[in-house]
Amino acid sequence: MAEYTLDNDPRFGKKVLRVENVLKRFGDNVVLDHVSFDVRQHETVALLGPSGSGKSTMMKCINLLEQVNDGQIWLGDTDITDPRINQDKARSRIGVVFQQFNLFSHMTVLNNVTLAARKVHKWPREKAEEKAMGLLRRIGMDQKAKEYPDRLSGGQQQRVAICRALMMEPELLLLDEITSALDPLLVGEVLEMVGELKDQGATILMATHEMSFAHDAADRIILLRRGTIAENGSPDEVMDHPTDPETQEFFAAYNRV
Amino acid sequence: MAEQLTYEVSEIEQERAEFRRMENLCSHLTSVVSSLLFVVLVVVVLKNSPGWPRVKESFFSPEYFAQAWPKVLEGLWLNIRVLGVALVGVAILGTSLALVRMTTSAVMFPLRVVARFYTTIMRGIPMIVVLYLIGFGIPGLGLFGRIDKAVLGTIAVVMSYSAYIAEVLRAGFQDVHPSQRASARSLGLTQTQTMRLVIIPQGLRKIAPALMNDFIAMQKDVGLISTLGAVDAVRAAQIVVAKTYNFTPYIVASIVFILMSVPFILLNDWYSERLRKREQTGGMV
Repeated sequence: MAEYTLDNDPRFGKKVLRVENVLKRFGDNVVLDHVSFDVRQHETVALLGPSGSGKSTMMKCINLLEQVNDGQIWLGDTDITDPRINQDKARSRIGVVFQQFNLFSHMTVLNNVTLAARKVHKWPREKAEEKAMGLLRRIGMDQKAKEYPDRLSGGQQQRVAICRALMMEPELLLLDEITSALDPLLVGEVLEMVGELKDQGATILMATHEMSFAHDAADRIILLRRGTIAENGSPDEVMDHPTDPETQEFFAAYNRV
Repeated sequence: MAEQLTYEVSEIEQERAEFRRMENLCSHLTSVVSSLLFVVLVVVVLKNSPGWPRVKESFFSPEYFAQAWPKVLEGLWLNIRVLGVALVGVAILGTSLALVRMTTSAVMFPLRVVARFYTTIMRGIPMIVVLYLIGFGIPGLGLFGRIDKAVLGTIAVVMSYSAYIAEVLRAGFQDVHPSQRASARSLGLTQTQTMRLVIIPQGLRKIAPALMNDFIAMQKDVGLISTLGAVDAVRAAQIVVAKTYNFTPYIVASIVFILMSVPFILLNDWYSERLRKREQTGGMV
């Protein structure tokens, strides 16, 4: 591979996430085959790849919802695959937004956003609510704080879910196909919010099928294919000027639809 | 709301509305007529049965009704107390069994086996046998001295119903979408917090109608403690029957049990309907 300037790009800080030789298999089916990559502070990394390429599994391993079968994942200076660490604590350092059914349907928007602060970090309710209202106000959802999730549109629900993930100022934000279950008309507002977070310096790893968004918003594109990393580089390198025929075909297929 | 409509209703819609109104009227009339016919039929058949005067005297005698009423009511107070205690007992034991059955850790393996064995056995044994085993078996051991029959009856009811409730609860908790658990854990909530704050409240909502139905069934099954000799509403009725050779007191006991269950049945219907409406908004069929 050619000299890689993205790795010493001065815009980004220290390595927040280091994935080293991660192997994950379900029975005999190897889903992730010795995958390694880094995410640096303030960097937005898009994880792309066809269905079944291992994107979702990778996200789940980072969030400790799945256990790796080999290799290590470092969050800052912590090896989060070490079974001796407190996994709940590690999880609370990462903010996650899923594809759907994110919000707790029996809690109001405000209680959803403040839950982790109140129950995990033992903040007093007033302090948690003050901070949560600030976050909700920024996305214009403070009027809906007392509503239940089923009264919100899919786009509003996802934006509240992002607020909830941001509440404890996570070191890393994982976005796992957060627009895949949305009405195409509502995708825009969610992506716009992600764009704002990036501009504010968030560190983001997102699995997505929104190719044009990945192209415009991501600093780095990682393309997974059959459980291995096929491409790792800037959007310009990977998406606009791919040299590998299979990569060319992958992006060409998206351009046709 | 209709007054607020500002647009003109088309002739087609007017005609459709008229048709629906007529159809509605017809179906109401049909139901009234068929109900009347049914009542008339029942009355005619009863009146013409050769044994009706005797049945009427032995089951529906106003005189014995009045005689049994205060005694049965007095007995009912015991049923209500047993029901109250049993409700708490079932809630605790049932939830514990359900939670134990849902654990995955190796440490809990023996408890899991016990819980599984318990729910399997208890759901198979007829309730009356459980009552006999507890009611006559435990005093038979001679370990605890004399125990009140009502207490033993309560224990039996709790043991039997916990097994059913545990399975209903387990179904409800497992029905909560897995990503809700994933969301909770990814916020840093522990296994226990996730269970307590997310899974249990959401699961309970879904199975509330089933749980209330079991509560209603339990309400009448507390009457079975009479078989142990505890003087509850049924036993009180039995005592009057034994003295008078008239069965009306049993009808009295049934009426008080029905009266006790009606509010809960109405509550259950109301809640189920609300849940159904909420989950099927927009549906016509």
